[in-house]
Amino acid sequence: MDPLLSVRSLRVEATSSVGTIVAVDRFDLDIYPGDVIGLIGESGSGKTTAVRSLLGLTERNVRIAEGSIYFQGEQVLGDGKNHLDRLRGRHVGMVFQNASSSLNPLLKIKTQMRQVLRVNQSAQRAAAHQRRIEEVISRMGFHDPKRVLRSYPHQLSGGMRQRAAIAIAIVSEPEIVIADESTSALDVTTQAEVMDLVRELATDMGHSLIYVTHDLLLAAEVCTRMAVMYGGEIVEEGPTASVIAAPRHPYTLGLLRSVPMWAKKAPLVGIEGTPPRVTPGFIGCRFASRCAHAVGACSEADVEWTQRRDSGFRCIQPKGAPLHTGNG
Amino acid sequence: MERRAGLAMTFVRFMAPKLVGAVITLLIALSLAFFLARTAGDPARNILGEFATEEQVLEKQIELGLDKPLPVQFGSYLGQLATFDLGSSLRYSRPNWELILGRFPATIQLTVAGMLIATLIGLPLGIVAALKEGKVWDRISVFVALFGQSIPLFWLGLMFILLFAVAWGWLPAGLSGTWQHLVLPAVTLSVLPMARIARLTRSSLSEVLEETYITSARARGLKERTVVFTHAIRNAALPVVTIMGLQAGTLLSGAVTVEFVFAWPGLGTLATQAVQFRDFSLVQAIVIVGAITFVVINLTVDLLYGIIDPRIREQGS
Repeated sequence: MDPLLSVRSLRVEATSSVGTIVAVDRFDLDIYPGDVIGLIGESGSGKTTAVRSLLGLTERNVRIAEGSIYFQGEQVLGDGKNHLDRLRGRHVGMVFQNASSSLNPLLKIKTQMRQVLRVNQSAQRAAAHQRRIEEVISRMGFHDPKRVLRSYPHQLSGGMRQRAAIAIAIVSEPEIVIADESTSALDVTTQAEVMDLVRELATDMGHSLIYVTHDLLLAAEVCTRMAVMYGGEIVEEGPTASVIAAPRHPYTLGLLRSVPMWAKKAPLVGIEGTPPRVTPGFIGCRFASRCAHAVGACSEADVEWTQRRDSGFRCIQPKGAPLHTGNG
Repeated sequence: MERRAGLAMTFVRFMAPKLVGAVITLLIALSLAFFLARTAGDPARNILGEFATEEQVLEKQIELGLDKPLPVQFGSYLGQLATFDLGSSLRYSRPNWELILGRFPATIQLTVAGMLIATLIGLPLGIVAALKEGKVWDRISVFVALFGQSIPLFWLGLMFILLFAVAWGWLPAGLSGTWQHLVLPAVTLSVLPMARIARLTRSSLSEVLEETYITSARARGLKERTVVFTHAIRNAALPVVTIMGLQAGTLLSGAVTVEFVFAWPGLGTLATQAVQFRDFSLVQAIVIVGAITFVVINLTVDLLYGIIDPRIREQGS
């Protein structure tokens, strides 16, 4: 089976008055039909910048420095091409973190859904659009879907708004849906409801999903695969079960140890220190400065990706291999 | 139908408190007009001049009702206003409303022309500047805004007259009658509102363009044209509507400088003359008309707010 979306060596740089920062680097990702991929990392790890770059939606001071992207085998980025805007809405739908700010406050939900259909399904008639809008909104678990359609965003609760935002993102049947911290702003109960909805959409309606989150626990519940990001790079990627049961990268391990539910009898450990500022000249493992297992070689050269069957990592001292013992 | 009635009720609930506020504002303005007209010294003496005898002054005071206690005067002033009586001009010996109505069309003509020019140039300039931040058009717009806000209007008017009327003879230097008469004063008058509209449109729009819902609109695959015109501009419109209302109000209640420079027979000229001749009754009437104009425009701006933003119109309910 061919991947729907392939990202190769994506590098994204952000320039500000203090200099250039590499926000995303050596980013490779394949998304297959039906995949639910969790893109996990702490704030500043580059996960949001990475997924926004997939649609060419970076902020003004941020630019894609290199890399190629293929959609259904066709190159949409690289070799002088940039057709990322063609993916927007039609092939890739995006649900943002906070629906209070991602929905236009002056337009009714129905208007916002209709706009998406008009531009992405322009061949269809208005009546077909109307049917599709009603069909999608009725699946979102609203008590009164008709009322939601004619409401303005501020007339809905936070959870309803987020579900409306999901409806807008999927109304034109994109193959891939990106959910960027889409439930972080909600309370726990609503979060669970919206997560169930997202999972249902992904499995029943055949969308592939990229779920961007800092919440490992939440991702583990929904995702079939996980990609852990640190300092702009994917440091570990694989099926959810194997990433959680047998993490290879010390950062993944650190993340798992800081989740109360999985720490089990072992004491709950945080990861000391803060992520580095990755400038263009940065060499070596991004995590070395915080890593308990770091050796000299970690900072001497960039760490290459190791692929083992269906999972891979970016570490020269993976867990499972003999760890360097330092002085002791 | 039911939904339409619901919307109408929302608007009634939204506008009712604004109307009450408008009436209160108007009452305060009317009181201010009354007391201000009486703070510039004794009107009777002002009219008669410094060589009048005490007797003559007293006679005049009785004639104008100025001998009565202030509260009584204020009461009869409000009574007159309640019957739409603006009093009579002391100098022209004609009803004030007649004088004001005679000048109002000229002022409206000038205001509408001035605001039209200001909007037609200021709005696109602000929009282009926001879309092309830091580029040539942005710089041009910043320059126009700076120039328009700092240039003295009387000087600009005189320069226009010097160039277009005196040196080249393309347009008349003053007075009114034909569209040619309207060009120079309207253009002069449009400079300040144009600058304000351009500057505010630019800042408001470029702020809105940074909002998540704009990125979100782009992520939905909408054309950039749709993103800018249906998502961004409407959201950026509120402060621009406010400034347009304020500017229109200022122009309508008499663009004193410009009317004076071009001898334009509008309210501004009438007000200048009324002050010069110490026609306190006429000054008071003009202030009242100005206050009413402002209140009406503010109500219109409020209504527009409600039309543009559903969140604002629902605050009343």
